[in-house]
Amino acid sequence: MSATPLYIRSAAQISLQSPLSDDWLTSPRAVVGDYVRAVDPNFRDHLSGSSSRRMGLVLKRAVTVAQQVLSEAGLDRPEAIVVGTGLGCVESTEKFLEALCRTGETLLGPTHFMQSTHNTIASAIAIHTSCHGYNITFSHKAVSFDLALHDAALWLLSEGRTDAFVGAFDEVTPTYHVLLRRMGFVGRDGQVACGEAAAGFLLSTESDRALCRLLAQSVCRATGSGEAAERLSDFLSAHNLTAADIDVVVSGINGYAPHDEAYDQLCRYVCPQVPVVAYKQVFGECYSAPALGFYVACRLLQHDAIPHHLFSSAVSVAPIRPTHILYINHSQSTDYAFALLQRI
Amino acid sequence: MKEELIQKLKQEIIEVLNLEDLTPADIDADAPLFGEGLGLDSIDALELIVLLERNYGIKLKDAAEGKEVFKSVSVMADYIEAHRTL
Repeated sequence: MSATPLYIRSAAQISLQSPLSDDWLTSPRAVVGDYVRAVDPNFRDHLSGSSSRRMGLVLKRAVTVAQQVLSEAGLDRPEAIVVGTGLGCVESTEKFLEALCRTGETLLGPTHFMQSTHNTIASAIAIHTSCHGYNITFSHKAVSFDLALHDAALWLLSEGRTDAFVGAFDEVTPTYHVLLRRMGFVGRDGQVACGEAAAGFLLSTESDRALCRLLAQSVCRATGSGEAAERLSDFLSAHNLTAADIDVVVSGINGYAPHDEAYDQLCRYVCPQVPVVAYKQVFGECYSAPALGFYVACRLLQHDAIPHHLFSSAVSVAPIRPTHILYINHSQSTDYAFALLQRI
Repeated sequence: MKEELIQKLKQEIIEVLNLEDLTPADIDADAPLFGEGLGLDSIDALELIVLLERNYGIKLKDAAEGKEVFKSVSVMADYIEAHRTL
């Protein structure tokens, strides 16, 4: 990443926890069951009936989150909108396909068809904020958010721009939950609940009222834990940091041992002494869950202590006021993403 | 008979166009559907074309015809009574 500093100026989430709030830090909602839908705000408080009448759930969540992010940053519109999503507007896609099956290839209304593309989410945010700038969607399973963040950072630096909205959004319908179980993405032994995620951030070159600084971010492919550890070591040393500089690792462990093994090995090789914070037991698992991990990291850098319910092991950890947080995500133990966040 | 159809149409329009804030009583049967009145747009016009075909077996052949048919709920009801096949 170039010498131009990047900051996270604001962040918002709708998830299994109280929406548009940081109550999860002090009083997290209990996650009961193996499939839990997000807790939605009253959308009428955020969107007019006329502007949202064609929106499916994921669009309402995305536009509401984007509005909150922009409002917190004191902006009317960002210069770019970069979105990650694993499934896109899957509820609308299902409705469109159901109608297709029910009536044959005739009598199909346009609304669900229009919304059944993944990039409708970024488009809806653009329409709602009157943003005519760079608009792109990344759909790469559980690294969709990381690729969106990476692209937004590159865009800001290469174009010399100031602000980009970055987010990740996934709704999980009952039908798709069944499919995700069959695919083995959720519902495995010991795994956290399947959830839903809508998280957004304002990535900026300006530090005004920023939550934290994004020191570096990287997405890479690695075959095997040894290569992944090598990439992580290179990532840290490229920014003149060692494991000793990291106060906390925010990790995407989800309770399923083979999935968590990749995180365990990375931490064991690169930063064995660093406490690990987990977030999926609080927010659930879905393709956009890593954006909530990034959200957790941003918020922890504003607080003086890390709540105990976020630590991955029951081992007592001395109170930590983190200065540097390393965020780690992986998909299928082959695609890895790292981000370094710094308190300001 | 026509009044019954108008009430049914209003309900169907609310459902198909997700006009969540409205009840049938809020829709003036003689008010324009597009522009003023309900302020519908071209995507709504496509939804109404699908509604006519699916619920009443009426296939609109050209856009000009649609412009006439969708003048108001009352005009729609007249057209449906004259052309319905379902």
